[in-house]
Amino acid sequence: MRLTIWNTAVVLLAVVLALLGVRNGLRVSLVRETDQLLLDEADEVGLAIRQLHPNLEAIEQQMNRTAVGHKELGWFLQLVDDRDETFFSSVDTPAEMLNLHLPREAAAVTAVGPYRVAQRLLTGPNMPGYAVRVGTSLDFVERDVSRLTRLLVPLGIVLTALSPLGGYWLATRATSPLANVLSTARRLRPSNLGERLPLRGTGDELDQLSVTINRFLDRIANYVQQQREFVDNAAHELRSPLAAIQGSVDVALNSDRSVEEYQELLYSVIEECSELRLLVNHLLQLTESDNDSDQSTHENVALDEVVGRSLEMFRGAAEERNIELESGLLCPAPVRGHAVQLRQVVNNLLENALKFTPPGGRVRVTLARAGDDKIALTVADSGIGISAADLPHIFERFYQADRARQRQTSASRGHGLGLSICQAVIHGHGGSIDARSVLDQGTTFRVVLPLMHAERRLATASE
Amino acid sequence: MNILLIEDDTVIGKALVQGFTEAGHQVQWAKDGVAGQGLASNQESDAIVLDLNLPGLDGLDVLGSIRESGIRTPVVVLTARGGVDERVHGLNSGADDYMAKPFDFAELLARVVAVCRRVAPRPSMTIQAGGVKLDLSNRRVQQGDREVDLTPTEFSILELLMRNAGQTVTRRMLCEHVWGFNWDGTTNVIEVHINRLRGKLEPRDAPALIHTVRGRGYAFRAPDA
Repeated sequence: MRLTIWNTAVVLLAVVLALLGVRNGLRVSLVRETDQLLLDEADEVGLAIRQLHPNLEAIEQQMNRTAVGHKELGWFLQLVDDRDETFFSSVDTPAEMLNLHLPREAAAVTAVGPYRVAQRLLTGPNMPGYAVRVGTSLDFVERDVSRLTRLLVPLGIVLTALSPLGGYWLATRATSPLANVLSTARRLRPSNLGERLPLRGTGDELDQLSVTINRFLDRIANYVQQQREFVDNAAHELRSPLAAIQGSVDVALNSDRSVEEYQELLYSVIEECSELRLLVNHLLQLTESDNDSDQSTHENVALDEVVGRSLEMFRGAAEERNIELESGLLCPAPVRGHAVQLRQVVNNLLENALKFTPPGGRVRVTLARAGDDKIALTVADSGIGISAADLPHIFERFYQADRARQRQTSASRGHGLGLSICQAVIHGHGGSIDARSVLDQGTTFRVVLPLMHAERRLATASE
Repeated sequence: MNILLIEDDTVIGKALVQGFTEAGHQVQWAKDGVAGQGLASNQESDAIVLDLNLPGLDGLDVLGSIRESGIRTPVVVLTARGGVDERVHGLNSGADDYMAKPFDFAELLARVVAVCRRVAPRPSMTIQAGGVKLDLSNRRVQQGDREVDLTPTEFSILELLMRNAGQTVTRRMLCEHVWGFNWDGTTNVIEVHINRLRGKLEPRDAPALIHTVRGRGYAFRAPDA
């Protein structure tokens, strides 16, 4: 709307300026035209007089004849001597013109009041300073100009009146893609993220904006879809321990039982509760590390100590299963982050390695510098491996590789969240995690994290 | 001990009252913050178990006003919101310890006992139970007149079990005590050390000292108890 008002104002100004310009231009050119005609006529008359000179009578007759023709045009005619005394003057010469002194130039046009007067000096032998003057009123110029003005003003008004419409049309043309964007955005609902902005194929900024917004919408739709699947999976995963608890309690309440039977049923309830608690904790860890984009809560963590303690914790379990848990020298690895979350990552990786490695196997842990400012943690096992089909999906939430294979290793069933948590935490720490695997030969997980800045490292070294 | 329980959930409240009572403690149960505050100001209790999610007067407000009025009774906070921030917030508001729901009762009991012990420290350098003597200063273990050689991990586990003799100690508690953090995973990292401990403390034909409490954890019980 504001755009339209501005537009109208601009058009109005332009129209007014154009009108004035046309009027003045017209006036100037009409006057110039008239001047030329008057001069030409003065030349003609001068020429005739020169031929008739010194026959004054003949001159007078000639002047009269000419004056009759001039009358038609609204012109007047004078012949003056060197003292500007009128020698001849046509009938309708205005009074102002009598005894009028004009500069004695060979040929010039002068404005005298509302008149234009062209004067031509007659030079030659025995032509004592005579001058021919031909003049006319400028009334007709004004008349023509005002006639034109009368024509132009309504046109200007019409133009000005139309300009908002035109401006509106232009503005709409320019902003209609934006209006499109807005209306599409308003139509978007979580339940309806399929809408995309139309492209006009012009490749201009608006198209680029639309493309950007469409990509953004793709990402959002994708994310919402993931969240939906996540909630859906979580609900299903929660359902099974819940069903088991309900089942046990139902059985317990169904009829009178011996104390031992009650105990047995309560045991299974508490075991399912642990299962439930584990799942809920994992879900919380996942959302917590997802929301952990702000690094203000990060503290200094000695990753080598974290790894060392995790190794310590699993050492007994590894021995028990006759798996060789070996680690080289862990290089000092100061990082910024959450100790609890990083510990969770190391624990998850170690637990997986032990879980999927049959007795007699080996799990190797290394912690070494990767380039100047990164640290790499690898956990390599000699276990059952992950198939090429499963490998791309292992970090997906609730994804579980071939369960039949898991059973061969007597691995207890997880929820398929452990690696998702690892990934979420590591990404939240600005690092990366990947896996390589050969079926029946083993799997290697590699975590790369940014080391703390050198100056910070010195600071912690001196602490 | 006298325990003041401030908890609005009747199911959990009932279970806790029964649990504490069976463990030999007296319990007063307040079902909202205002009543809880009143009972706390009597200063008759040795420990307060406070649920943060209370109707009306919020648990943290109760905690704040208890501390403001100069009551130093140790407080263990219960909350269903187990975020790290929540924990820090609770501990900053004057709580002595913190437990996220759902929790093992055994663990809560141990923590309540522990915060009381912290308030009234009786630095005992030896623990004795079931014929086993733990010397904490030089980390030696004697059974009768026999010196038992334990690894640091085994010693640490036995210490916690004996401190809570007769009570169940959960795997989580043991993890935290031995390695300094909770581990909720599916691998039982404690079991192998428990088995080795048993091997060292319970020679053939000797009565069992360390009992597995199914679905919950372990308990050290003197044979005659």
